[in-house]
Amino acid sequence: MQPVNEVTLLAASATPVGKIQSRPGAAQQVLEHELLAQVVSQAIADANVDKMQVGAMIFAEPHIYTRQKYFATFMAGYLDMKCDGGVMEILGNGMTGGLVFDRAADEIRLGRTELALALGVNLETAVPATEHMNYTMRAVGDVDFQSAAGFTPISWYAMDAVRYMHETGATREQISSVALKNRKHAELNPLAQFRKPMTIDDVLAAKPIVHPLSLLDVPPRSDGAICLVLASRRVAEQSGRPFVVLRGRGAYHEGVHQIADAPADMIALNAAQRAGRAAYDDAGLTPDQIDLAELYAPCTIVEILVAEALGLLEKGKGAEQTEAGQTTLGGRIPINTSGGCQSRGHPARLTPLYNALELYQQLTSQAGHRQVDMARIGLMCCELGNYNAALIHILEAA
Amino acid sequence: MIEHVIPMTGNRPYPPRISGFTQTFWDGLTEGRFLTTCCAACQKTTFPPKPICPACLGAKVEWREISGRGHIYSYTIVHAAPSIFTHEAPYAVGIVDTPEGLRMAARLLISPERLRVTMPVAVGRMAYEDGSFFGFVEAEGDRAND
Repeated sequence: MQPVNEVTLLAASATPVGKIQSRPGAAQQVLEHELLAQVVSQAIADANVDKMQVGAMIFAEPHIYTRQKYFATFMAGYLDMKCDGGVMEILGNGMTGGLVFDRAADEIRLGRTELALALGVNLETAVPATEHMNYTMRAVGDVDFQSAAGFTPISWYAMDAVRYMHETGATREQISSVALKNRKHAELNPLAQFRKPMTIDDVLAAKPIVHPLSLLDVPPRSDGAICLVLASRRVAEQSGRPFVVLRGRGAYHEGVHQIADAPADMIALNAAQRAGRAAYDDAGLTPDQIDLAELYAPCTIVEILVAEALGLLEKGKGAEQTEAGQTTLGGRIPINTSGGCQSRGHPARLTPLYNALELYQQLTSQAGHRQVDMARIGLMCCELGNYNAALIHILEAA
Repeated sequence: MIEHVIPMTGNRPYPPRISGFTQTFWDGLTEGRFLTTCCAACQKTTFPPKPICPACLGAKVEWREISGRGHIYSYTIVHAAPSIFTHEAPYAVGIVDTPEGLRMAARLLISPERLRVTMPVAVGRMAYEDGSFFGFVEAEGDRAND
């Protein structure tokens, strides 16, 4: 076996998040492989490496609406990429992008290659939300005993919000201040889907989706395409380009799908707590040493709960602290400087990869007007179900 | 005994599949009994019913009638529903904790103005034209402590 190698993130290229997928009858169609090929070309150029050095390509599995099947091996052929390591597609719902990053990092760490791509396309916006939910509702509960009652993916987060308000006395305005903060961040992010200024009244007056959350508390429908280049430290240093180092990692699945079959504290997000402890231990860090975090949080309430579970905000005070600006750019611990799922956008299977891109830009001082001062350590976290599982990576400036 | 029967319009939007094992649950529901399984070895009661105990992986389980009473742990009202449920929207769903130590996710057949966390509820049979499903209605009794 090869020795274990240090893993770096050497480049990150992506399309702006937004509506990319073609309407079914459009005369000219956006093709998934053409879209991704352009992103790969840009990422390889940014990394200043030769494509022959790439030894693994780990893809997010495209949605069922993407016509080309066996997408990973198709792309290997489309771009003539010869690999000693893995060429595969990964699916893990919200965690998909995180697992893609994790697997690509493992290819480097285990010495199977010194250069790996973590990449994918997410195309879904031409499919109406009401139709898309006929499919996604099957992923968030026992299909025969729970989905049949009409639960939707974000209905679980809405129940988190109702419970959080009950236990802490937090107000709807405080929870929705997450959306406001994220919009301010997105105004500064050229890759963000929604960049127009917004007020708290806009959030409160938006149409109800799942009580108490409105259209602006929940994620938009989003498309995207992204390619990250992961490398050994040796290859990263040879490239002469800025890079960041993978410093820690933690994961936990609490053995629950949506809800336990016995009463438990649903909003403690046990999986995020435990994965967080593992990642902090692995990195030899404590929560107060994190300079910024990109948290997978489809709805406003989720960002608060995850930040509390990871020790970035105080338990039960997260909504209040968010409203007070602690997680805003310039605040104590900036969270989702990308604009988060609500405003950067949520191409669901790629969202964790877009979060990694944000950390890459921040930790290499390439984040422009949204640059976090002196950012050295960033954390990213993604999940399954109602945060029944969490996967966390901590990245550090080189 | 399931005391509440709620007439529903049309067919079930997303009919559950019935297996040789879960047939007992669905037949019980239609007959007015709310059933689940309990492990013969470790006594763990679980819901939904399972042929294998999730606590000890024991393969011998017994059917047991449960009270069907509980309290709302949390809830939401779904305004934006999957198209197969659109004709029932807005509707309430929630999480109910029961005295048997179970947690269930189900439809709440309670008006939005009355819904509260801690509210006492009881199971009801939703009588659709093509069969039964279950949900909870408001019940008499004390609120939960927290």
